Amino acid sequence: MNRPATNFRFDGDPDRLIHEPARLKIMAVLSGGNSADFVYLMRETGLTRGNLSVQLTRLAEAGYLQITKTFVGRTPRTTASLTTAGQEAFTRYRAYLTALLDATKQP
Amino acid sequence: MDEITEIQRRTVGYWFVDGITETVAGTAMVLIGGLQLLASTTTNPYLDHAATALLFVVCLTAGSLIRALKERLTYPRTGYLACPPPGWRQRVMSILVAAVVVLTGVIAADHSEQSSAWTIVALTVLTTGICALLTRRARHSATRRYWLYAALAMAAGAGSMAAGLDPVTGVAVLLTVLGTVSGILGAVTLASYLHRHPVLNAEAKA
Repeated sequence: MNRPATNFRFDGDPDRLIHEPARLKIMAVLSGGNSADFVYLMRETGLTRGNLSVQLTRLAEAGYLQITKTFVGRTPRTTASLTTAGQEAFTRYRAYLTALLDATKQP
Repeated sequence: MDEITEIQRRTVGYWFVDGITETVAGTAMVLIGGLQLLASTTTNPYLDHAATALLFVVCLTAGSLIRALKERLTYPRTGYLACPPPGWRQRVMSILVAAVVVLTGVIAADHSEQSSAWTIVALTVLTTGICALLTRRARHSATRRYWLYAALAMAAGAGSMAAGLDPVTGVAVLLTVLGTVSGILGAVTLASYLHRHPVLNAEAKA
């Protein structure tokens, strides 16, 4: 039997919070230090307003996301950005997926 | 390309999606290049100074103008996205390339009456610097139009050298050609963007 090239083990689960596709899209948009408002996130992820709001709250409660409220002139602007913990969690998640894909690569 | 990488590339390219940057930069390049070309064909010394003064004004105000236009046109339509400021390595590289381009331009202006070998060196450095900045932007933002601008800059630089223009006139031609194409493409992109994305009403934004 061919052994995989990497020493990937299934004993570490992927981060379930990021694993969900809707939240994964949000994390992908905000990774790299970007901050985005509600309209941009809704358009980019294709989520409904209610669903996006729920997912943002879950990520914020986990400490992965920071919600900032500012004013541009008289217009309020609410933006979301990843915290350091969120950025690290996303990097770990990507590393997990890459290792998994490498280990299951067909010879 | 996987979907995560695709999303990340789209976020980097979002700054250029509306064509505002190219419209503003193109207009400024046409004005500066046009003034410089006019200065090289007439004896009026004020035109030369006007081109230099305009260059400084553009450098100081272009960023604010672009941000103000985006605030008015882009963000109410497709949302606000802020990318982090460039890191120190990226800043140093951009400053170095810009410094080489400006320095070559200044030295070229002083030696414009001298040998054609010097003209070729100066125009090659200037064209390569501009092409490097444009291709870098094209690669990072996945905006295909910037490949066209880079190719155009290369062609305009080569054309100026082949025509035996002095470095200052050569750069003026390069700026005018590049500015015209970038301004037109930027305006078309902006018009198409505004057509495709109507302003969201208050309920949709909330």
